[in-house]
Amino acid sequence: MVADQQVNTEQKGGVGDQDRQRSGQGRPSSDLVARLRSGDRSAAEELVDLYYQRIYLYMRQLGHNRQTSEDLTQEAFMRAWYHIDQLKDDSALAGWLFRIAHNTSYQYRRWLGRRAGQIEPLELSAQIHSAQGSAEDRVMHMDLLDRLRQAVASLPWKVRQTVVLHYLQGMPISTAAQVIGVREGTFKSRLHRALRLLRRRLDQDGQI
Amino acid sequence: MDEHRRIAELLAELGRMADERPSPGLAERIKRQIPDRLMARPTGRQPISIFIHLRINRLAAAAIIMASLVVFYGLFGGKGQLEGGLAGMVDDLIGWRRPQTEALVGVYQELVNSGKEVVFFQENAGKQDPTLILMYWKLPEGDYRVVFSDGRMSKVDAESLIRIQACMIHRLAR
Repeated sequence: MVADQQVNTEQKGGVGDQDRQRSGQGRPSSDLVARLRSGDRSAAEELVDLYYQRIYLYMRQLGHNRQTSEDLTQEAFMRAWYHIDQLKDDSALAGWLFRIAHNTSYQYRRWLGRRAGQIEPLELSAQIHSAQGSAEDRVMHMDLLDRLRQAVASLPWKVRQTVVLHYLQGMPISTAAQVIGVREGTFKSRLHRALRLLRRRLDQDGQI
Repeated sequence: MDEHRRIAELLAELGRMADERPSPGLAERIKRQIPDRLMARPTGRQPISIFIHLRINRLAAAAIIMASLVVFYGLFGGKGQLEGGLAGMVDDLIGWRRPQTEALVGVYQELVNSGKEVVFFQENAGKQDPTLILMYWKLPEGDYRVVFSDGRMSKVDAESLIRIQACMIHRLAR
């Protein structure tokens, strides 16, 4: 499966490296978890600097609007300060924080219920990374990505969050499954369903 | 499967292209909410949990004593006396002292006289509801002292105060 192949390639590079590449933020100090667990306030500030943009983007990619995403990001960190005891080891730092963020978002969605508004699209950088060829090709590619973005936004919630965590946030399946509290097998089957739905959507548009 | 692989690649690219930044002050706003001790409970919750914990323990002790008294008075014919003073005895046993509205109004007056700008919700006096604010005022360091209608006090920052007030308004509106 594509999802399996994806996770294998990610494990080679290591999630930490990939996270940093994606966020453009620095490397967590080696003793960050230990300092957090000892209640060090400066460690908490370091954690904010490392992750607040990623958590904000995660909220946006899940479909929350800008203001709500900022509020939920704050709320997630607020909760994190009081759940430091659940943080076990260095490798689990991102998973632990994203799990809190996921629960924060989930509870907000439940509270919102049917009042959930239209999804506000996330801004993308103007640079087209992998597009090559003529200007027309690049424009076509950009258009394809935009359609894909819309297709992701239209996915059912449970399926969408697997896509966001694994593909958009670049998280390995094992960690992403822990974040949303499901088994790896369940996560993979949701990913597979997501790809099927996305393919169907893009097929309708004649894009793939 | 090739199509799935293609979509997976595009999704990864989409993730790399996410370029939206939160508003500039977000990190600072989050940092301001970092408590002095990370392991502590939130300001508004710790007193409640301690309060409940003490209350439960005291109630358990009080229940045992009450049951003993009921049995004792029942055996020796003093049931009428027991019923008359029951409420007071319970209060004495568990040390439960509800803040009196008059006393709280007095506190409010003292604070105002000392030059503090106190916001007072007189309609919440005596409601014994831990979610309702009775009064609050600003502290010199910028935080706020909040007194709830059940007599509990908390020191909170401005954003927490807004959140507490929002909860209160939401509750009162129901």
